[in-house]
Amino acid sequence: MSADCSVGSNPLAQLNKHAQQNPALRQVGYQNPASNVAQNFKTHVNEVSNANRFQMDQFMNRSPGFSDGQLGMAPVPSAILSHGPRFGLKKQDSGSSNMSAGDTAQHSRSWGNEFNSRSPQQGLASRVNNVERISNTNSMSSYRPGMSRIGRPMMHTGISSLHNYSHMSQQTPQMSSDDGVLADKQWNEQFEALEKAVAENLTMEDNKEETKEEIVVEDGYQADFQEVWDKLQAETADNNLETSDSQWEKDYARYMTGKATHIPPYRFDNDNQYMHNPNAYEIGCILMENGAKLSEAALAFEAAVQEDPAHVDAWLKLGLVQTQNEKEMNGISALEQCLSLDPTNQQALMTISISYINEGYDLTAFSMLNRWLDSKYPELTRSPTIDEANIDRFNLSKQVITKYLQVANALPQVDPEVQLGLGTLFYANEEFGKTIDCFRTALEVNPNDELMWNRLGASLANSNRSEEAIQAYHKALALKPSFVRARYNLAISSMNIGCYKEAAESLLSALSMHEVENVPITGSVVQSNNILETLKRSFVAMDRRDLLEKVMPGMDLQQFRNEFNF
Amino acid sequence: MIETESINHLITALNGSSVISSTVGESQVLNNIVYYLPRIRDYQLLAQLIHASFHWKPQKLTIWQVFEASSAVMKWKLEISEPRLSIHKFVSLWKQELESCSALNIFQLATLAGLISCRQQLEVLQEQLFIDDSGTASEELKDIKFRHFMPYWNQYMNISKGDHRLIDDLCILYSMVHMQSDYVASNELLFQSLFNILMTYINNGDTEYHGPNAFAYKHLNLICQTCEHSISNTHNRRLLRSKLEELCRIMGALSDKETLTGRKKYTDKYYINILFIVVILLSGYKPSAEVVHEITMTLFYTSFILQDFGLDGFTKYQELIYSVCGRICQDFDIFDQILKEMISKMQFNMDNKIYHSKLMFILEYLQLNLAELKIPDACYLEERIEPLVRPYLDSSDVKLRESAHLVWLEVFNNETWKADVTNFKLKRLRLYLHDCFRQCSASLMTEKQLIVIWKSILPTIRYLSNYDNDLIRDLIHSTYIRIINTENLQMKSTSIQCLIEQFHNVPDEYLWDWLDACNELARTLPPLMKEHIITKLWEYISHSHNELAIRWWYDRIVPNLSRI
Repeated sequence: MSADCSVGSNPLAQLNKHAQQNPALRQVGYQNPASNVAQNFKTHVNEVSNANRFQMDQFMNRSPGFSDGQLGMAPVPSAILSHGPRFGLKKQDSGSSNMSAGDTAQHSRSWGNEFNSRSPQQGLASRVNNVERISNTNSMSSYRPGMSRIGRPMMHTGISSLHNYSHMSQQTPQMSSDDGVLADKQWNEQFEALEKAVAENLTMEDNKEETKEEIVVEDGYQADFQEVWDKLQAETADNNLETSDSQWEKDYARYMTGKATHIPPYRFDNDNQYMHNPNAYEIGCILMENGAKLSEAALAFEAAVQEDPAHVDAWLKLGLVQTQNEKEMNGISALEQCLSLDPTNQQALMTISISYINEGYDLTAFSMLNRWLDSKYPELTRSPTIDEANIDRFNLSKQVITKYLQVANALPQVDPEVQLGLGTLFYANEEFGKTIDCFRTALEVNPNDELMWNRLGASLANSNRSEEAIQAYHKALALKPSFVRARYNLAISSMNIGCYKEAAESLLSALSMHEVENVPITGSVVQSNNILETLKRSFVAMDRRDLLEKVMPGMDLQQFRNEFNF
Repeated sequence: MIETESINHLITALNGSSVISSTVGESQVLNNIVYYLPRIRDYQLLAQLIHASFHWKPQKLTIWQVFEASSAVMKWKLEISEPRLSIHKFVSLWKQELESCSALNIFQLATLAGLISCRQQLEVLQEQLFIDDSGTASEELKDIKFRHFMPYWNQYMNISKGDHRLIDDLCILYSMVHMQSDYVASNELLFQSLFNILMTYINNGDTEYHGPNAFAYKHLNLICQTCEHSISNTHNRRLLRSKLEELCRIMGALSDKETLTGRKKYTDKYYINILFIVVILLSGYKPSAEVVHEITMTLFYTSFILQDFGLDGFTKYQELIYSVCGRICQDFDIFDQILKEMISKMQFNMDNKIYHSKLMFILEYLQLNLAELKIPDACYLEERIEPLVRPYLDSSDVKLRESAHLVWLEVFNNETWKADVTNFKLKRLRLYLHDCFRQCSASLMTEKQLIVIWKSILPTIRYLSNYDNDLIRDLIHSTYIRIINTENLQMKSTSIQCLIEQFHNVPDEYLWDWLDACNELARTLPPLMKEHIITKLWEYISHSHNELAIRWWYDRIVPNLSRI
């Protein structure tokens, strides 16, 4: 058995180990080793550069190799006819006959302006009409290949759009000097009027001033809105990109360093017979005390918290039940809910710390244990506050252990909870000898604590003392037969000593405890994935592929009863 | 109102003789035709201008200027927003004009070509923007091509056989409107003409955009593609062969000429155009036994441009070389003949860029052919292949060394299993793998490359183990010994991965112990490396479909951690 390879239950670590690196999920696999050997082998790939690729694409496609954009940009009205009196006369009229080649461009521009049903003679009167000018300019700009593709559908449908609006804003600076003078004059008049109005309004009451300010804002609203909006959009897009990346990096770092960042919300069973029962919480407590199935008690507490989401004790009990029931993540979710309502709840803090250790989120667990100690013995923990945000795992563990040791030494008698916390800290560091000492000390004070017996068993098992561990688990189960986690752990230890059938029986009995009377197995009851996977492993070890194939969530346990006692 | 008056003047001028008979004057008229034609909104006026311009015969302009003008007219019509006179009506008017013509002169043919050449653009715009409400304009252009352009063009080709210049012009004109599905009666003539134009381009050096073929040189791509298609439609095998030999000769001469400079960079447009011409023309040839020799030699001579241009991503070249080698490897004699000739043209002076490129080509040739080639006997490998490849397995030139390794892998993986060939492989396999480890240790080979070699050669090892019972055991043992004797942790990790690769060949009776051994070796590595090795083990196990390996994994690796 190799405990070295353990990655706990930290999903990312597991994913890294068994899934992400799986070649089946990557491009290169063993299945076809000869394929792409050359591509995989060469360190220097003689790749076609982007520039060359562009040339290649141009060449390979049937695109013409010349640019004809200059041809037909504008008509050349003069000097093309040897004798054309009417034509020449007209050009003389417009004052541009005998135009040299250098003048052509200028002339073509003016012709372009005239192109859309406007003659120069229409003059100033038509020029002041902004809308017409815009439409003319628009028409001219669209007479250029490559520039009008977007415009075409709009022209067809006649939809007035932002495209046109943008033309308006672009064209404004091109106003003629006459237009400019006119506009300036009008603007000055308006501004003076506005100033006058503002001066008059200054004498008005405060509430009216507020109204006036709003109006001023409204004035610039249309003009500024788009700019501000665009800027905001761009910034938000940038920030989103940055945020998502950096957030991912943070999450990744936290997972890899053992910090729990995102705990999924509690998953309630859909089929709950205790729903709307006003005494659901009390029923749950009675079920728990009388050794009923933990799943049944869990349903009662679930009903209680759904009825009253602020029920701290119900959340706490639900968390306790689920962790014992080998449903760690649901347990953590419930305890987190409890802590969100009561941040100093000591039982929740201690239990959730242990669950976080089981799941591989060591940093979060250390932090919780630190909080627990501060809340239980505030007078004994006067050492400087630990800066949890900027500390590595090693140093955080060291500092929290030091605090626990200080408290343990300062106490006049043994506090089994302090021993539990200390043992958990050592457990996280794989110092199983010290862990065992702590848990044994706690058990001396409280010998009927089935949870502690299980913890002692797990510590023994993880330090390769499976036989002793089995004794501890049996003790725990004698105290509480419905303790699913102890059964699961018993199965692990049984497997470690080669007792695969016994292991399978323990696991099947643990699964049977997940079943609740009158609740269909394929319905709301979710069997623990941990237990199912371990059951598979035991069947593999037993060389029983036939049984292996039967293992799946929601399976009927009756099919195993012929062979296994559970 | 648009300038009806100006257009009427233009029509009058075109119909009469009032246009100044000078290049500038005629160019200006042409410009006005291009400007007005797509913009006219009046149906009658447009019909008149089309008639006038179509029947106008410029004195100073070339047919290429007329072609470009009519192409520009069509492009403007497609691009500008002119809703009143639809594209369909515009094309129909042209067609109507054509129907009324009893014969077309060369300028009119060029005008038609210009219009038709925009058909592809019309289809693209139609797909993207639905510019033609009727949806028939493209078909109308197609109709114009086949009912008007092609018959006249064929007729011109027939009557102009003695006039090479005119034939060339006609062929270039046709290239502007060519489609692969076209039927061309005088296909051989077309092929010869275009081929000669392209050869002139290669021979004349960097003289593009000058001389009588200036227009053709601007449209080399269209000329090339038309020529490529004409090759597959030409049934005169002698002609095809002789032209291919000519191309090979020309490229050989160019290659020889460039050998003298030796270190030049061949990414100028001229050289890249040559590369495209060669690859496109050769792609037109079906790689039959008759022609693969010349095709390969031409590519051999062109390799100096290819190396500078780049291979990865040059799909057309890759398709060509694969199809050619696919044919060559079926016939050992052809393979050897080509190889001999390439070697005879070589000087193994690797400082000379041209020879370096040629050797790279030879190695690629060997790599692509050796996997499938039926090797006659071990002597051939010993006398021809080994002396050529072996020296480069240790070359300080990375490109040559890597190419040589790839060839050598193909030698091992070749599926000729004659006794002497098998012996040849058996004799060299252990040593080769030993050398690979050595090269990896000396940083002449990357860890990834070493693992790729093992992965690639694994099936061969399995097969050869039928002739040498100790082969698998020897190799795995030597790998193991190498691992335990290596102090370099990275090398140790890489060697363990090579060991894992070999598990595919290990019989079940030894597998459990080897997996255990591998796990033990992994424990000696730092955590990250160990993780990597465990992952590699899982990759092997998850793909091995081996019950024993899966059991081992669950028994030895999967964590059995209890939970507190």
